[in-house]
Amino acid sequence: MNKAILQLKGITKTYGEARILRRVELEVQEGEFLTLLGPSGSGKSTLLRMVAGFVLPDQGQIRLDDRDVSYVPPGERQIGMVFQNYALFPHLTAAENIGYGLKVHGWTRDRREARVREMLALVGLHDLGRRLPRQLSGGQQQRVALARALAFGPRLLLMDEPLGALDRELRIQMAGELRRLHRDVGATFLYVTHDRDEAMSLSDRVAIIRNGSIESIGAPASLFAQPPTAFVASFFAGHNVVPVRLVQAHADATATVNCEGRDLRVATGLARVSGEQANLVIPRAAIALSAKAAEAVRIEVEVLERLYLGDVVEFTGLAPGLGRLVGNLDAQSLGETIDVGTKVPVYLDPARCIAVAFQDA
Amino acid sequence: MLIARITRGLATTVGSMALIAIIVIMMIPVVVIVVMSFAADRIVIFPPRHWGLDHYTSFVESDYWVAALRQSFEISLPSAALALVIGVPAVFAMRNTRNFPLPGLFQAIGASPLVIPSVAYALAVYVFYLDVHLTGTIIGVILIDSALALPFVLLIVGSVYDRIPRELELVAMSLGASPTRAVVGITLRLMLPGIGAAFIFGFIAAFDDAVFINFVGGPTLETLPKAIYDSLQTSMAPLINAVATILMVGTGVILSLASYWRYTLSKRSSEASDKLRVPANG
Amino acid sequence: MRGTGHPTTAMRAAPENNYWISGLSTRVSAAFMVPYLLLCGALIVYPLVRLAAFALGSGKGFGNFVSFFENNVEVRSLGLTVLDSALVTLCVLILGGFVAWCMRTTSSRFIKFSLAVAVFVPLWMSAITKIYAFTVLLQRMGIVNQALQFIGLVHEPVSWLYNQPVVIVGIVYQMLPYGVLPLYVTFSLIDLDLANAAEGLGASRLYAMISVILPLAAGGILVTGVMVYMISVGYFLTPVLLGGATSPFTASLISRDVFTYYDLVEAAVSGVLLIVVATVVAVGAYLIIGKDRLGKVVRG
Repeated sequence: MNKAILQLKGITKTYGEARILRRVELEVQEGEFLTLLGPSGSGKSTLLRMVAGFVLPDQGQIRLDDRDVSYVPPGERQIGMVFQNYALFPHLTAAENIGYGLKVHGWTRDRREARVREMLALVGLHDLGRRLPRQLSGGQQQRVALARALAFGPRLLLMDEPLGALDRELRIQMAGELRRLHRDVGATFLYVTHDRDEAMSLSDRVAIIRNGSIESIGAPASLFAQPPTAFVASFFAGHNVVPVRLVQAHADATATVNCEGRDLRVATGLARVSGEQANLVIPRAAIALSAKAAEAVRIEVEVLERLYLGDVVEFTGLAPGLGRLVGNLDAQSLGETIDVGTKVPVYLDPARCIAVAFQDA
Repeated sequence: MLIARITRGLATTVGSMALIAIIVIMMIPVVVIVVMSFAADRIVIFPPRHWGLDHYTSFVESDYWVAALRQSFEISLPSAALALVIGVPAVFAMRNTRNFPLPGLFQAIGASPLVIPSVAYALAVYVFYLDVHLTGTIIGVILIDSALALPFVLLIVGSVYDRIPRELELVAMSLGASPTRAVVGITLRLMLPGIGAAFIFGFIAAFDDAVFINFVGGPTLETLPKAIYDSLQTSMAPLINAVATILMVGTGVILSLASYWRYTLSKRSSEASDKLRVPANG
Repeated sequence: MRGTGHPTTAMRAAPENNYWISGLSTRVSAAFMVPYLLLCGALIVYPLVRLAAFALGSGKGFGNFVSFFENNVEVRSLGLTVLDSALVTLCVLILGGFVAWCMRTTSSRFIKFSLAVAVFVPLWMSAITKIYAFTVLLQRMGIVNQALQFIGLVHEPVSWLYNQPVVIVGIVYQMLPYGVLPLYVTFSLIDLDLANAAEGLGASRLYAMISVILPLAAGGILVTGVMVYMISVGYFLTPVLLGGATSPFTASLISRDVFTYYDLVEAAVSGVLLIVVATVVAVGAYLIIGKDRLGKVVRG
C-alpha cells in the first residue's frame, strides 16, 4: 500500500486582511500524480510554494517522509520544482542548467556529465545540451526545466502551471510527455493548474481547491461521474448545475427533488443533501433531443447558442426556471438545424443526474 | 487643401535642409581635427597641402605629452575602480536590505555630481581641500574623480540589477545553493557586463575631466585634458590634433564596447527570463 | 523553531514576512554602505555645505551676498549666466527635439543612422577637445577665417571668439547630444499611431502633434530641459576658454576670483548662487511633474 509521502496538516496563511489558506489538510501518496486544481486566487500556488519552501506557513505543519520540514530552507528539502516561466539560468547552457544542482551538491565531473546526458535523453533533448536558453523554443526550455528539477533524483516534483505559457498543440504534446515521465521516473508529482482538461488527463487524483481550502479530492473519473459538490460539478466536470427544491433525502444515497413541477428520484453519489434546497447536477450527456427513457423530463428551452465543434454541436438553451443548460449533441444525428432563438424541447435523463447540496454559485 | 500640401512640402524641404545642416555642423569639428592631425604643413592650413604622420610621431616622442597621458591613466583607472568598489556593494545594499530608509534619496545624492553646476562644485571641493591639504595631491584628485564616476556606477549597475529576476536566486537555492553562492554565482555573474560598462563610463568621466583637475590639481599634476587646457591659454602645438584624434578614437572604441556590454549582453542574459513575473497568490 | 539559515555567511536566507529570500543582514548592509556614505558625505555633501558656510561665514558674513547684489558687474554676470543658460536650454530642446523626433519617426535606416552618428560621435570628444576644435576653427588664423578670406567674403580675419554668442553656440554644441538622447527615449515611449488616429479623425498634422504628442512628451521634455539647464549653468571651460577670461559669465568671474585675485569669498558667493539657481529650477520641475515620471526618464 502506498504511504503518504507528503502531509499537510492545518496549513493556514494570511496576508494582511486576506486569508489565503484556511486549515488545509492534504495527504499525497507516494508515487501518485496529484493535481491541485482551482481558479485563480484560490491559493493553490501559495500552497505549492509552501511545500517547496519559499513561503512559510502561519500555522500548521508540512511533513515530508514523516519529517517536519515546515521551516526547512528550500535547498534542504530534496524537492524538485518547475516554475511556469521555467526560470532557467540565462548564462548557462541547457546542460549546465541541468547540472547546476549536482554541481552544488559536489558531484564529480564525470558523474555529473553522465547524469546530465541521462536527463537530456529522458526529456528528449539529446543534442541540445550546448544551447543557451534563449536559443531554445518554449517547449524545449520547459523540458530543460524539468530535467533540471529531476536531475538529483528527488522523490517529489512540484510543478506550478508549467504548461501555461505554451500554445495548445504544444500543451497537449507536453502533457503526454509528463505522463510518460511520471511513469518512467516513478517520483511523486504534485501539479498545480487552473485548467480542468490538464487536471483530468494527467492526474491519478485531483484536489479541488477553492477560497483557500480543499473542497474535494478524488480520482478524475470519480469526480466527474459523482461530483460531491456543485462547485466540483461545474468547475471540474463542466456539468450543468441548477437549483431545485429538495423534497426528501433517502437513506440509500438517493434523494427526491422537484424539478419543473415533477418529483424526480436521483442518486446523490458522494454528496450529502439536506434542508429545503439542493442543486441538481445535469451532465451534458443527460440532455438529448428525444426521450431516451421513460422517466425523461421534457423541458422547453429557447436556443441561445449553438457551436459547431466538429463531431459534436455544443448547444446552449435557456430553460425558464432552471436557467442555462449546455448539452453536447451528436452532429450527425442532428436532423433539421436548430436556429438560435427558436424554442425546442429537450429531454433530461434523471438516471444520469445527481443531487448535491445547495451551494451559492 | 493645396495650401496644406504646399506647406507640407515646404516643411519637408526646410526640415531636410535643417537636418543636413545639423549633421554637417555637428561633424565639422570632428572632421577638421582628424584631417588636421594628418597634416604635415609648416603652418595651419586647411585643407592641408602635405600629409603625414608627423604630429603622431611628435606626440609619441614628446616627454611632456606622454607623461600627461600616463598621469591621466594613473588617476582615472584608480578612480573608476574606486567608484566600482564603493558603488556596487552600495547598489546591492540599497536594493536588498529590507526597510532601507529612503533608498531613493541616498541614490540621488550619489548621482548628483552629474547635475551639480560643475564650476560651483569644483570650487567647493577646492575650498574643502585647502582645509585638509589635499590640493595638488594625486589622492585628492582620485577621490574627486571617483565621485564623478560614481553616478555612472549607480545608474548603470542599478538598472542592470533591476533587470535580473530575483527568482533565479530562489531557484538556485532550491537546487541546494547557499544564499551567498546564489547571489554571487548567478546574480553577480549576470551583472558583469553592466559592471564592465559602468567601469568604462566612469573611467571616461574621470579621464576627460578638465574642470576639477584645474581647481584641485595644483601646478604639478598634469593630465592630458589639463595639458590641452594649458596649451589653449598659451600656445597651441599642432600635435594636439593628433592627441585629440587618438583620444577620440580610443574613447569611441571603449564606449562602443561599453554599449555592447550594457545593451546586448546584459539584455541577452535577462532575456530568457524576461517573462518572469511575481506570481499572483493563487 | 525557526529556520536553520546559514549564520556564518554574509548573505543569508531569512524568513521575512514568511518568505525565504536572499537578503542582507543589517551588519553586512551597513558594511556595504559605509564607504558609500563616506564618499558621498565627504566629497559631495560636505564640500557644498562648507562652501555655503564659507560664503556666509567669512568676511562680512551675509553681507557678502548683499554686496554681491549691489555690485553691478557681478549681478549682471549672474543674470547673464541665468538667461543665457535658459537660451541654451531652449535651443537644445528645439534642435534636439527636432533631431530626436526625426530619428523616431523616420523609416529610413540611413537617416536614423546618420543622425545618430552626427549626434553621438562628437560625444567621443571630451569637452576640452571640443573647445580645442572650436578654437582651431574660430581663432584669428583659424580655418573659418581662412576659408572666408579665401572665398573673398571678408578681407580681414573676423573675431569669432571671446564674445557671448560663441559661448552660447559652444555650449549648445556640447549639450545637444545630451538633449537628443533623453528626448529620443521620451519619444520612443509614445505610440506614433496616436497621431495617425488624430489625423484620421480629421485633425491637421500640426494640430495632431500639438494636441496629442506634445502633452505626452511634456514630462520628458521638461526633465530634459531641467537637466540641460542645470549642467549649462555650471559650465566652466566654455565661458572661460571661448569667452575669454574677461567674459561676463559667472564661471569666468569665479575663475578670475580664484586664480587671479585669490578672492575665494567672492568666488564662493557666486558659486553658492549658482547652486541656488540650479536647485530652484530642479525643485520647481520636481513639483511640477512629480517623482515617478522623473525616475522613468532618468532610468532611460
